[in-house]
Amino acid sequence: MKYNGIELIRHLALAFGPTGREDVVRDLIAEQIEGDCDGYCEDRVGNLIAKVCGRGLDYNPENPQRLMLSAHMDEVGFMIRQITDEGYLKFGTLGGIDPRVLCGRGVTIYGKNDEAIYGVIASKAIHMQTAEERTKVTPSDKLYIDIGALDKEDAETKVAVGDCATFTSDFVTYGENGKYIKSKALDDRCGCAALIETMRYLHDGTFDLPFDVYFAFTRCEEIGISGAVVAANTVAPDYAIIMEATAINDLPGVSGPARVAALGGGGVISLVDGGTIYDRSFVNYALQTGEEKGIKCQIKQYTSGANDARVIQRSLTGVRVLGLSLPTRYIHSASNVSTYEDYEAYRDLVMAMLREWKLN
Amino acid sequence: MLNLMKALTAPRAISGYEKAVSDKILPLIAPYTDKVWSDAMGNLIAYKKGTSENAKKIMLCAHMDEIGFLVTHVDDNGFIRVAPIGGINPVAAAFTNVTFGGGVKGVMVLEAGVTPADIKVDKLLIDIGAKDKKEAEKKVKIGDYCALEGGFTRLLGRRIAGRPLDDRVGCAVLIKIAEKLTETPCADDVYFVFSVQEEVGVRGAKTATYGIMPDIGLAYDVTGTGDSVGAKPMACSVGGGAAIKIKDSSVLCDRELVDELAAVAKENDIKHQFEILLAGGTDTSSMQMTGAGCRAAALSIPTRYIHSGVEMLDLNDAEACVDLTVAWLRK
Repeated sequence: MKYNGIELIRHLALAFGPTGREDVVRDLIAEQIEGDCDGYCEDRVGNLIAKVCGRGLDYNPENPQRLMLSAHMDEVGFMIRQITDEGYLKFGTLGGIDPRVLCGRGVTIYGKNDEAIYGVIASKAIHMQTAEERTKVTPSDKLYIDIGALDKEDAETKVAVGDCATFTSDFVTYGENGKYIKSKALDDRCGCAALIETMRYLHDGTFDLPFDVYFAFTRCEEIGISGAVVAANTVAPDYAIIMEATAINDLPGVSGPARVAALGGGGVISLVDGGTIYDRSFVNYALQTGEEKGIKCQIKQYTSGANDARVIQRSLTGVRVLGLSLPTRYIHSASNVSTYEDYEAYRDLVMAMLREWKLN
Repeated sequence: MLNLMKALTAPRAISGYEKAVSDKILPLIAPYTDKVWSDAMGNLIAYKKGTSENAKKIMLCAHMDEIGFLVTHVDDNGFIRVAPIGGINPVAAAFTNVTFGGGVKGVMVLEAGVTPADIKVDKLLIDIGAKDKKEAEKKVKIGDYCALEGGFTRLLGRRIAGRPLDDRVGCAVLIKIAEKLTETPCADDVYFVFSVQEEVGVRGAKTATYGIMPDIGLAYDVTGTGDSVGAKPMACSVGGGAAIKIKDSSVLCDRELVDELAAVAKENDIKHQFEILLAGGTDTSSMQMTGAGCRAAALSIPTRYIHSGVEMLDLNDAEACVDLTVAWLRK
């Protein structure tokens, strides 16, 4: 079954895909892009790479230029490190998760034979805590997951060390006209959704396309080992657009540059972050396209964090990169919050840039 | 060398925004080389063909970028907030003149009441003399870049102090090498690479090296010294000659190449010293480890007060780097 728009985001976001276990998401994406591209394959490290061929007068089939759109499939999650004698699971985090958002959360573990096992991240009730404990954050290595096992032996019939987990989540729309979306893993399944919808737009369109467009759905972004480097080395693109989600801080009491960006402002264009100084002409082209077509976009006012652009830019003889992110509150928690209108603006900006390509 | 340094320190070009310097270098290097081009990241590469049929590929690399700031916010009163690009020393940046990419001038100041111990980048702001946000935004917008004003003062002897000597002096050395090679051509192919984004983690040299795949790579950059007051022990001093790098925190140089350079210096009576830099990396590591790797070393220009507005070096040391390289290439 093929999905569009918010339904596509829903199915992608709810799919299980912590770093290292991207196969469920990858299979879902493969199903969604079947027939919507001119071919796709899985590379040796598990990235999914699809292609839409160029066409028209400015396309040189002998020696085509290549543009790569990339989004990562993985989400932050957990890995089981140890099973205690009592049948509780000690775990490590996959990606940066604030330990304060962990206690009391439901998690889903892919256990034996990939059976989904429900668990709860246990915490000491406030009644039992000492005055000192109440003022301190419990680090994640002191927490454990309760899956309702009687003891170690019982737990081992369901899960093993090395199994992965994600936050258990629903997908909710709320606020005026349901404009806010809340789910786990909007980072970066919204990017995956935008790639799929852009792919369909390019594949079905009859307009000229001066280059082959590659769509890289990448692995292992959240822990910094970036499967994207392999995708970039394989595709050897001239240009790359990294579709991401970015943390924002448009909260009460925060003003000025500390806000980073705001919900409702459209896609967030990065000038520089902890890993990359983006191609300024590419940035200007994105801003200009937004202005000409009346598509909202905003500049990121903060410079920390990093994403797959870091490795893509410096692959082979170098790639001109643009970073475009969906503004997302409470990123890396069980409740990412974005808006559908920002998603549309972010997706449509890329479509508009590709449709009438004008970057020299 | 002095005039070349004047020309090269004039434009502002922070990491990622090197075009102003690249445009300046292009007409200076083109007459001495066979072909000049830029790659996707903006590295400027000039190629000079060697005379030998079995020419090796030799890459000489100096970076064009300087440390600086990007505008992140303009407040209601027209004060400008910035994000640091590269290793900013906030103490050196406070109370200085700054120039924006577009030419607008400003002064970098500290928030009132900040004590010396609390000087951090996020306490810095720029005043361009605007009445309010509206007037400021006519001149400066989010994403514009700026840096401390460029230029230098002549001190005693052939010493100069100013900025950004890191690494326009390396760029000047490369141009001088190219000029001298027109007199007696070299057997090997030489690629003069003016790299981008060194100050944010030796990034540009990676893609330039991948495109060239050199046999040997030499970087030209400034190095710290042990001869300023309170400096950590280091047997490297301003005026001590070309500093042949043995290691820095990013690289262990090819030992045979180090010995070869030292032997050539000795033979030709070129003043030299050795450099073991404990903190700081250079493009040398990018050249050494890109692709299947190459033999890499570096010639450094000893410099005091690096990353301040008064970086100080001796032009004789820079010229020793030129002479040593030319003698080595002719061997």
